[in-house]
Amino acid sequence: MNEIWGDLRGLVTPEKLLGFGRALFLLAIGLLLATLVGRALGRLVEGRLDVQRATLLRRAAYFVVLGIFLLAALHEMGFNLGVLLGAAGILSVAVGFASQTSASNVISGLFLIAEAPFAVGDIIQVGGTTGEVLSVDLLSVKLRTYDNLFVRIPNETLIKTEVKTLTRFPIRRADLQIGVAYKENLRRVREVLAEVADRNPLCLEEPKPLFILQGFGDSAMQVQFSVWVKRENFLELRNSIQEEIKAAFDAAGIEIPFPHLSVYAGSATGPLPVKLVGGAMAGTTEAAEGESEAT
Amino acid sequence: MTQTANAAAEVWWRDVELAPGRAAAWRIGPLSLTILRNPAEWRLAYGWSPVVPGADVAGPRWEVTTDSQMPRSADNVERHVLRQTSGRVHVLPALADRPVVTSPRLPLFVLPDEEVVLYVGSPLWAVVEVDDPPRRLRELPIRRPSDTWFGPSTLEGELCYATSTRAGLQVKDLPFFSRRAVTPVRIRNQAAAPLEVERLKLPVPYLSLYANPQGQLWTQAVTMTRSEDGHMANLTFGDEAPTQAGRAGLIAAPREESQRGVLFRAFGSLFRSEERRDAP
Repeated sequence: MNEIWGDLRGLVTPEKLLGFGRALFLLAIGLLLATLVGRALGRLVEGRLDVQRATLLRRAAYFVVLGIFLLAALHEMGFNLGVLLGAAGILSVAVGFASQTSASNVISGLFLIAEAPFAVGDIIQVGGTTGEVLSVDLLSVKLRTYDNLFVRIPNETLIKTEVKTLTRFPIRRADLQIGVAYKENLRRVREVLAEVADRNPLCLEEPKPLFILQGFGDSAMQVQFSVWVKRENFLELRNSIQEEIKAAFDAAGIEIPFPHLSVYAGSATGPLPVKLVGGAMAGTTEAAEGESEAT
Repeated sequence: MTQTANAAAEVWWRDVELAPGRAAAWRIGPLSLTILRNPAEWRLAYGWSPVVPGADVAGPRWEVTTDSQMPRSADNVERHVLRQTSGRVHVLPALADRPVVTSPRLPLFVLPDEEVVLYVGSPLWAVVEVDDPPRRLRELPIRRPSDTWFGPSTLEGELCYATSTRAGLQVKDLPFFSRRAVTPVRIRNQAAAPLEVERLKLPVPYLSLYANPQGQLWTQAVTMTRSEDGHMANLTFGDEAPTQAGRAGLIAAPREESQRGVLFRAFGSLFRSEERRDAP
């Protein structure tokens, strides 16, 4: 028992206590300095960089300053830094293998912040998800979708796949797909559509609306009518102009057809024989049969 | 008591005193606006009648009724509440909050080394202010102009309002005044080629609005100079109402701090050549 006590006393010598105190002091100074440097840097770049980059810079400065003081503190406590760094190297290889995905996300996150294809507050579309960017973090990007769900997308996915930023430019184009009946005059259709676009104040006059005949479909001529709109008014225009097109087509007597199916027996045969079944209709059936024979 | 005024010297931008529980109505072109004063709230009802093409000049141009009823149904009804209302209502005209892009109805060319003055109309807003000192409740376009984009590409440019103009060359050609403000635009073409005035951007937020005793609304005169081979126009404008307006007084100061003598993309035809057409 006494021996253990003696060993402990040997460990806690006044020099070691002094070193320990100095280490604590260094750590405290380091924390204070790191916070100050972080804040000063944050204030310096405020307004010049976007929020993510500023945050990243602030954090990086904070951890670098803190790291230097931590190393100095360890040195004061009598640790051999060379050995410690060597051990850290081996450990980082092991940890690197174990946390490959996270590391890849972190690196992707750094690239994403440097490239800045979008910022907090932008609306982006990734795969099937559309939402507002809440934050761009080291591991992932957080979105809020239009139906108010929280979506976390790993940075690696964002680096690899196509990302659409819907709020990058001030104006957008709304493409409306419209089918018109084959009997309609396309020039008239074009005029009616142009009038509708002209009357709608949200639809931009310039760039001019586009009228593209997409082709001849099964039951309708497919027309694409593309109108430009201020980004914020996109949905409102999309709804209002389709209503107005329907009303204008109705007023002009232009038919928007639904899929038709004509049953045709071919020119080689006669018309399809039709037989009505039912006692009350018997007379009519005979008459119909007589007519079909006559043709 | 109903007061209806349409005489030339009377104008719709007047102050109206309202007793509690009373309402006043304005009809300015397609805009109809009713303001009701209650002891602790101002109630606004407003809407726009559908615009019939060509009806711009026909029909009553404006009407102010100082003893009116709130309409049974209106597109928009809103309440602005405060501790206590005082009785004063000001409805004032104002210019647009974005530049206005005007296209002449017929193609117009200014020949080289020539200088012309075009009279260009721009749309007006009705600003509702109440009480003393005035508090602004709403700004309503008399007729909502269409949005448009003015710039060499869809990436670079500015959102503006679009109108069309006869681009009259004489004051007597001008359209009706109390729903539009008229700007005399002096265009100097100092280049060797004719200048096509296909679309003209008026920097309306930098302009002031003036009214003369005849009830006409004017902005100060604007001069646009196209120098040799330039894509830009040099823009200058004066400090006071144009001489054509006669004795005119200031009604509304500019919305934005003015930029004088700046190079400015004013003519749509000049960047047409560098424009990138977007594929469908």
